[in-house]
Amino acid sequence: MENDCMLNSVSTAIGISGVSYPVLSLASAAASGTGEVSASASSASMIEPSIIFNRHWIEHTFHSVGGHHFVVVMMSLIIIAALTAFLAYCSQGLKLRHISAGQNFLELIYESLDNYVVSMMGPAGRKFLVLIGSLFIYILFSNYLGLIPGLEAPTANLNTTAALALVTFFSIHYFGLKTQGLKYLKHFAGDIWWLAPLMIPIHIIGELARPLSLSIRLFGNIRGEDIAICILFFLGVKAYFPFFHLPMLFLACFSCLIQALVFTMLTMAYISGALPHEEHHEDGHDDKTGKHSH
Amino acid sequence: MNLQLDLHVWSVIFSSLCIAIGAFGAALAQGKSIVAALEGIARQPQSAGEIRTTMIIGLALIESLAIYCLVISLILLFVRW
Repeated sequence: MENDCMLNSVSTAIGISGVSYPVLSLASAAASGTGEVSASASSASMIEPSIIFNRHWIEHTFHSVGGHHFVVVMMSLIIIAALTAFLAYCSQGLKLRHISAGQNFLELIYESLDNYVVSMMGPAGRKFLVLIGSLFIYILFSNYLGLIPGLEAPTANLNTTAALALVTFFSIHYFGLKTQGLKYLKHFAGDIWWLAPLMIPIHIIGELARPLSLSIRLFGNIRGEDIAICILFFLGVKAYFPFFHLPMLFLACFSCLIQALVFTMLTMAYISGALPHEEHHEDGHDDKTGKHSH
Repeated sequence: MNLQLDLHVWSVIFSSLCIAIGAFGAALAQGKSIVAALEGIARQPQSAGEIRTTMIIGLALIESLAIYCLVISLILLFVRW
């Protein structure tokens, strides 16, 4: 890891294989500056969680398959397989009456997602329900996967969140160009024509900052929570009271949901910002129950 | 105490300073926005839903600054200089 280039070492260090190093050797590094090498070395070896954090157990098992991104792909596949199996099981034999419990549950999920999307984007946003709902369910279950011991949240890796943010980025501009045509490109120039050389770079930087902030927000929240839980847990192990991380776990249960909400909410805000505005006012008049501002 | 601290120790110190200052600013800003949203909801309870969604988006945007600080401090901590 020492000889790697900057980016590679950053991604490696923030990835799974790097978590052990600072957590364990921070104490020894700081204490070696003050000359307490032996005490800190013994304490570091006492809490060494090599099987969980030095290399993930999946990498131990499938050592030949590859680098540290393999764990993330594996966890994403777990999510996808579990969700597919669950949905395939629940959507068997759909009926209009005497519905099964699985169908009832799916209808609950669909209706709440539909309410969520419609309350943000109006009834015209219903055609984005597939995109938003898929993003929401995938991010939610990815976040929750990290709370299970031994597993790793796929969204705690910058690659996954960057992929999700790129989907958002391209869908914003795709729907903008599809609904507005070339008028969508015109709004990059701003309202005043002679300010266009100034406004175009500003708008382009603003557009590029969206996927950056989306991906780094999700990644930082989930990774930060996981690291906090891990540090508190090993602090508790060291104090023979391994329950210090329980408040953080409850906070994480809440915050995982909030992060999925925030990601999809910002996606919807960006997409509805790219749609034509006249359509929005009409929707506001149609939807008299929810909207008071129009 | 050895005054000749190496780069690793400096990175530890400044990463903790980074997240402390970042969390401080973000906490102040989030508190202000939540206070404003609560006042709005108390004044007009029928528009609570819209205020709440706008507030959550704003909170997410504010929080991303603290998260940037977290990422910077993680980089400072985890990269072996």
